Amino acid sequence: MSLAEDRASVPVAGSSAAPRRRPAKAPAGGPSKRASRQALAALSWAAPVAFLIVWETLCRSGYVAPQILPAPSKVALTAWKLATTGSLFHDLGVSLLRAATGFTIGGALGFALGVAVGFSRVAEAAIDRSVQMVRAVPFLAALPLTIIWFGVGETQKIFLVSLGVLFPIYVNTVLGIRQVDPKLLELARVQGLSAWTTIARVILPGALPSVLTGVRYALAVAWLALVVAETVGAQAGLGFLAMDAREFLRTDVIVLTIVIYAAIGAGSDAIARLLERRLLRWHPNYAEGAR
Amino acid sequence: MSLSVVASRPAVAVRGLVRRYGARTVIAGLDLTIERGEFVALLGESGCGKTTLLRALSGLDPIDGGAVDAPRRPAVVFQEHRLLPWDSLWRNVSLGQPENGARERAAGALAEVGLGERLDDWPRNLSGGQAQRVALARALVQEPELLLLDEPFAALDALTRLKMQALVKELVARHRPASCSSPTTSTRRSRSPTACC
Ligand SMILES: Nc1ncnc2c1ncn2[C@@H]1O[C@H](COP(=O)(O)OP(=O)(O)OP(=O)(O)O)[C@@H](O)[C@H]1O
Ligand SMILES: [Mg+2]
Repeated sequence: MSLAEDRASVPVAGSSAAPRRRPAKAPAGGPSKRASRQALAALSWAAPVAFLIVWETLCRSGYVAPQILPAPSKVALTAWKLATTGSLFHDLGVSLLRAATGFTIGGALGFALGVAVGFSRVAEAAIDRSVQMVRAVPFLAALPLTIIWFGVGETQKIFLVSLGVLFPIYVNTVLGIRQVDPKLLELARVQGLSAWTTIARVILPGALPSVLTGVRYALAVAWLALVVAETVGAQAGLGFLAMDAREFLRTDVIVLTIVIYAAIGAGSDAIARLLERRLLRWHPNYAEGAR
Repeated sequence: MSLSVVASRPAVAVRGLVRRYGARTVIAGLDLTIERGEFVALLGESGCGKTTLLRALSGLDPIDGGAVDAPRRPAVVFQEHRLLPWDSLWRNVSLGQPENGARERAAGALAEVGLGERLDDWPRNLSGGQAQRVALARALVQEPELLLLDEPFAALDALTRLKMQALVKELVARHRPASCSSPTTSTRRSRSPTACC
């Protein structure tokens, strides 16, 4: 689950690539460049659209039974019906609230522990080993236990989400604080900064990229935890909607919930990216126009 | 590499300074006196202990013997610019300065090093020489009694380095701190503010 490992395992591309000839650059933002960017954007949508068309055709021609997989148009229709007459927004709201509450609790706890361990060797000695041991448990394995402890109510779901969110935030906060350039800490001493100013002006900003990576990862984990918790037992929420639909073989509703889960996942990732672009404007990797 | 100048109230007085890393003694009994307004250049081959001496003078490192009498908070310009990448140039220059009128003072210092137009720019948009000039501005804005420069221009090309050294000389003449510098190649025994090592 550690992002440090994830990052370390990312291969470095093109380090030994043969020298490439660079095409002459069109003036930045010129009309031809913009046009080609639009063409590329259109191209990137071609495959998903084609996929939808094939899916729709297969369903309409009767090759795929609606009990197996409903046509996309049917799913869209169901979405409309549930949204106007059913409880879709209520269930969506319940799920979002669970995720947000769990994320806030787990995130705050993970950040607080991470800051303590990042700054203090004593705190590290006292806390880190225990956290790492709990972290080694795939947190979803705790699901049966949480049901016994809390039943299948809100507490259990929020607990599970918090548990999943805590570790990525913790690990990346510690990592971020420890990775702050010691030369900049030396600078802080030379400039006569107080401990507090050093934290506010040097350490926390330096740790921020890592913390935000943790946030992004934690958002994904939060959704995973919620899907699992809601699927096992709930009286409301998206997972409840899906399990309720299963009883009546309503695959259209099930597919709809899957699509909504996906959309929320993509949405939270977009929020995380936006945060990164806003807060890390100074960073060459996140600057406007980079990547 | 020791030199002493006799005078009434020196800015820096070092007596019998000893500095060791483990078993290796890098500085063994150094005496050094720097007068106010004096410009001292430390010369010596790589690894002879120039940085070590500057770090001892700045109070960054402990000393293993002797006595160092130096202003409590000298300004230091390191070999690398050490700008905070997440702060704009003026915020960098005013790091550690009182908030009141910080921007104006930073603007003044940046103007002195020829970057008066770039107050709100990010460090990553600067060339190497420009970044070192900002670091210099950050040192000057403190109006230090003692300015320590550790080969701040070593990474620059020869021509830029000459220009930067001229700039330092001019700024030091204007602000008159006692300065202590370890230049890269040029051998300097500058007489305007003052002398060397
Ligand atoms: N942290 C350290 N631990 C052990 N030895 C060190 C340490 N820092 C410096 N030294 C040693 O002390 C000696 C003096 O180093 P110093 O950095 O002061 O050299 P310098 O004169 O600044 O050289 P240069 O011109 O290359 O910067 C060197 O032999 C170096 O290997
Ligand atoms: Mg050195």
